[in-house]
Amino acid sequence: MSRWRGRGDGDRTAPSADQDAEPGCGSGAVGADVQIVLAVPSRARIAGAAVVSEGSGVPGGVPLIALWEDATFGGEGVADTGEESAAGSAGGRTSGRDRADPPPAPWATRRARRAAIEVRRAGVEAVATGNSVRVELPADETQAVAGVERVAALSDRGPVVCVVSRPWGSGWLRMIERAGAVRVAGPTESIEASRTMLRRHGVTVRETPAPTGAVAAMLLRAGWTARALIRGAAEAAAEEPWRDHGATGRGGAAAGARRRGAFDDDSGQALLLILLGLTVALVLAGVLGAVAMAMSGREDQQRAVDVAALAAAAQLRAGSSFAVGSGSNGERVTGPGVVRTRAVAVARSTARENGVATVQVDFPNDGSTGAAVAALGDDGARSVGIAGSRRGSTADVVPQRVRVRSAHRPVVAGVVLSSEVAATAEVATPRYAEAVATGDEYAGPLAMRQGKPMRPDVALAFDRMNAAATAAGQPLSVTSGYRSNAEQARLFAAHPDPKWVARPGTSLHRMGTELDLGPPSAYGWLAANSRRFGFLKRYSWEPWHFGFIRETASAHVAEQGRNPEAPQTNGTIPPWVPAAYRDRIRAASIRFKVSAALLSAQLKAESNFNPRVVSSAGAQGIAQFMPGTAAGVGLKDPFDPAQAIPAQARLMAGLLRRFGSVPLALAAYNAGEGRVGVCHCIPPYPETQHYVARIIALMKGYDDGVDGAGLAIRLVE
Amino acid sequence: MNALKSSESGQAAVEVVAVAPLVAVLIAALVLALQAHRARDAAAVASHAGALAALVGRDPIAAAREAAPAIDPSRLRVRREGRRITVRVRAEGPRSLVRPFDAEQTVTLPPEVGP
Repeated sequence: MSRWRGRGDGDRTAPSADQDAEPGCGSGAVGADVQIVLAVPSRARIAGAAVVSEGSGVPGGVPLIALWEDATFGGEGVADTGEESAAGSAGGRTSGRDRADPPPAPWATRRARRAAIEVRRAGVEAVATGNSVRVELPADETQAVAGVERVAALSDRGPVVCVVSRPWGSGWLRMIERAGAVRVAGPTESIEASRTMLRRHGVTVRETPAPTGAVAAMLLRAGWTARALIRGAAEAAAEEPWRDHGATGRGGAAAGARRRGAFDDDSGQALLLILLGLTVALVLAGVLGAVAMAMSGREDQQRAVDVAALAAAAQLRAGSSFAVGSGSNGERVTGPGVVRTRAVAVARSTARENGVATVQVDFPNDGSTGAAVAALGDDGARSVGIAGSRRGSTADVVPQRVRVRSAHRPVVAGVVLSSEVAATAEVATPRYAEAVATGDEYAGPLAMRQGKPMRPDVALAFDRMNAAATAAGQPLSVTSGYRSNAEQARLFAAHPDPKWVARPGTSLHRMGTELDLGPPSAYGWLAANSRRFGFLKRYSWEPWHFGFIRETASAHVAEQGRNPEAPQTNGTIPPWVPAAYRDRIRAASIRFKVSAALLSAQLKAESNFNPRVVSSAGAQGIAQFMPGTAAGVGLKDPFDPAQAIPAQARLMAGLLRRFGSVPLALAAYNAGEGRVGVCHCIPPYPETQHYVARIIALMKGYDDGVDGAGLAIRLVE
Repeated sequence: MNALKSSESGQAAVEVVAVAPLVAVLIAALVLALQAHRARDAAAVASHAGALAALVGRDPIAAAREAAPAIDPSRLRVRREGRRITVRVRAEGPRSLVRPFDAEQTVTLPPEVGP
């Protein structure tokens, strides 16, 4: 049994209109615009503000919400004793002791504060809160009703809503009967019981409007009233203006049913949607954060493993440098077991110090059975690696590699994100980085096509190709042309992944010969027709990238001599070139624009300048042409240096033009264009890798020492 | 009906305003988290690059700085103390807010390798 029904609907007989009226109560001073709300204590304040909100927009003063409630439900200052109330009444104030006026709520409006003062002047406690005034009625029913009448008698007041949330009696009943209608807020069964009881007194019972959501309820409780805070306010106002007391019981019940439906329906809850969205966002952020942390942990492990692998490679290099043995031909030989054991120990300790407790260390090229050597061949080129049975022969020396792996299994929501991290480092003569990243770039005039710079001859060729493509219904667009090393550096800094953006100094775009073309619909036409105009699709996986290959000046920059740090490419002929071939090499270099040092090193590596040599594979002459290759370049006599050297230069010019890289061109010379063109890399053949490394070493003059200090260690995977 | 719509839009506005501080706090937290992650990532990448450079005989401090081009040099501090290369990156934003999110990463190099 709810308390708010109290004496009006309990076991006790409900008071009737013919009961004695208390002095000052039910005297008729209360206007018809005073609304009465019967509410359970927990909903008293919200119900009062909601009823006021229903009438918001009607011109008038500040709404007054008179609360007759227990102190336990926020009715501080309300539970006056009867004596105090009487004294207050006599003295013109409800609580007439020397109690200071309660301060207004900090969020009270100025109008509400002024209205609260007016109410207090009428002898009733009042507090401004929000845009309304909360009138705190005394605990005594008679005094409370009298307080309401005094408030109702105020001039220039706003609407008055009395909220009764205590057991009430005849005083309130008479007021309810005069009003003819009452609003109720509470459980459904209580509302129905109240409706049944009050119907006997001719009183219409309707539910109070419901707040639109939790935030609206909070605002109503704080004294803010607005139509936006309650459900169906406009509808209720249109159908049953809040001053309309003529609604029948049936009509009131119907309206109540409609409101119950509105009360139960949460479909309009914007707050719920917002909170739901925030919750989803938080959950997503949490999941993403967990994944990011897991991946970050993996990256940390990868970094630690990288350092460990490189440290092991450094140990390998040191071991092969310092362990002087007594091998034949002056080689320094160390037992592979000792060197590797130390490398493994260094890798493990380094990994442990960087947060990876356990790692596995192995040597991928462990198939060789020889010793780790630092060998100095008779040609002065150094190599280091695992030497096989023909130890000391550079033909079968491969780089020494060490691989470090760490099992790492980050798990997010039961999903294993990765299995392990690994890094491989090698000790070898420098060959990749120094040779590829020359840093040089085209420095001549540029023409603009569609806003993109390119070499003038490339632009003319593009014009011809674009005209043909347009005629075929595939007009071309230029996405990118010449890019300086600086621009490439910016791109690489933004996307530091060599798979997608070439490292600065390695992109062919720096030569002004490369174009990124579109649209995608023209890729097919380009693939079929670009060669007619001198363009070559450089990479099978980049259908938009075409390079201009008709002009030998677009060969690799190594021979252009602009970069002082680039390999010796200005035509200098090394001193170890026999005098009989120096002029021929220089002439071929000038004619085909290929470095004389490169040609010289190649001839030394191929035949050691022996024009009559024939390899076991059938390669012939000073430049070691295979018969088929010789025929392909128009070389009639490979044993004639006067023909073989220019043919070698012509072939190298073409390879440099195609691959744009000295190492790749050398690799293609040794292993064939097809093999290099497939992967655009140096094929993983020990002979080819050594061939490239040896020639570059010769070009760079790595022949001035025998220790391993100049050997490079690098991460390769 | 229009009044009803107006009422509901007002309701949404009231609730959005009420939730706005929470959203603002969440956004601020997200920004701080991203700044912290960015600083940590930059510190990790830079220290890693410094360590690799040191192992191949290059200047680790220069390499570390090169590895974090997006970080203002004034926010990046690289130091080498013995075998340890430490990179500290100050998070970007008001110091009073982001100070706790400064990142520091250290990589320990192997002892001097020998035969």
